[in-house]
Amino acid sequence: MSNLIVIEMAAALWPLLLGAGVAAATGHATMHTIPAGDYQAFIMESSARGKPVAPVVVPVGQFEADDLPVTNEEFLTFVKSNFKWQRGNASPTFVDKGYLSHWREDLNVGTRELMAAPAAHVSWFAARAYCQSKGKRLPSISEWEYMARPEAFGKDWVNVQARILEWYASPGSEIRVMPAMKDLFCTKDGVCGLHGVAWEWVEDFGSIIATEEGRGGSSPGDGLFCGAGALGATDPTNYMAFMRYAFRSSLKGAYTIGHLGFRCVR
Amino acid sequence: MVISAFVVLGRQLAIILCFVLAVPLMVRAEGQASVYDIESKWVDQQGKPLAFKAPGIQWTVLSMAYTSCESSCPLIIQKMQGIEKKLPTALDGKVRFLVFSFDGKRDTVPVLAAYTVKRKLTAGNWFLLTAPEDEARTLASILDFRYKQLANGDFSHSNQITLLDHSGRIVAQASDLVTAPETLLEKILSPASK
Repeated sequence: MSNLIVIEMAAALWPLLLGAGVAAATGHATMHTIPAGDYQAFIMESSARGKPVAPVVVPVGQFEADDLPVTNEEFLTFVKSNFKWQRGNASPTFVDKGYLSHWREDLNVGTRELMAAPAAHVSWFAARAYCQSKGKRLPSISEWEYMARPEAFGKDWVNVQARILEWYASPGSEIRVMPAMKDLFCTKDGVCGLHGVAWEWVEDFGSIIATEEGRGGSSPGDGLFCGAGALGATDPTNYMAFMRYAFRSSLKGAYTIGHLGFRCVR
Repeated sequence: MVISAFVVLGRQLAIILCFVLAVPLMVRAEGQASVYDIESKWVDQQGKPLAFKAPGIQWTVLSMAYTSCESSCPLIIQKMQGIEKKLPTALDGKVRFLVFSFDGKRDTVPVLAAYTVKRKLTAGNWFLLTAPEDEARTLASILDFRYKQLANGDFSHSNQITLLDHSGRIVAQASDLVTAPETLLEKILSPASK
């Protein structure tokens, strides 16, 4: 399957949150420790020019992660004290026109339900600024994938997979509510709502190099990139990882999207 | 008396008109993305902080690279030098060349200084820059420049040369290195962009 098709699928199957109307978030993220471990990268690499590609194991150091995505309420508190990140003031260098466009006014989210929902329509720059203001940061791809790994869900993984597929298959483009806590899947580390709630920003989305080459039908690295002949999926049947990979590769820093939120780590 | 009253009125009208016309113009100018919106924490090969806004600079030709790169990075710099060579004397001192390293750990100030000499980069025109990783990501995101460190320490990265106008707006970006100098020179030399 070409990258192009995957990206088109990601665009066509905008998921919709079908969660319960009851807000789960308390408005304040608590952090949970993710123990150190290894993450097998989705994309293989070659150790040197001309060498065949092989799976890459990325060691992930211990870190702490927010238990839930950042909510509109939390983001509102942030912009209230950060003038330059308010809807009417944010620079077009850092946010596109859709920034916080789902809020009723610049400093008014609207409904209580929306207040408790994950903050979407937030650019990478804005998400990063939010995390920095809390002394935190966005997770790297390795960290995100590691905390959301199948093993972290134990026996629940089958159900989580079903939820993810259901989410991908539901058309829609806006996150309006946070599912009730009882409807969220949590990892054994205590991190909840990683799957089936919202896409989430990662710090190094710009490290995914799988864009234009899909269109021309040429091999990766033809002219556009240096040393990028190193592509190849570890497990091409891992549809969900492929979707996340394709989605992240299609992003730009100023983009704001109705089902793309974030959480912070430190 | 009557005439002078008209003159005064005319002046006031002119001032009012200026405000009325200027406001939408200012809004438009603010409504455009600019690389200069970044709070620069970049340091050049002499250890001096980079000021994005530089008086007298009309054009900025920039790229991201890393100096231990052996394949396309020297080529990118060579292509940028190609642009420099073809600049008319009228633009002397008005065009600067910036190379931002995304390998801040290895590309320290002395390494960049040595590289400037090795590549025979004109003093005063060229600035090789280093910053913490966060800053490189910020700039890369604005430029839509993609890079990834591979397990073997090398980087995969975009091949891209960007042209900024005096306000930091991206005027042109070329990812085909063969035609890049021509594409960007055309912009710099076109009468419309003066």
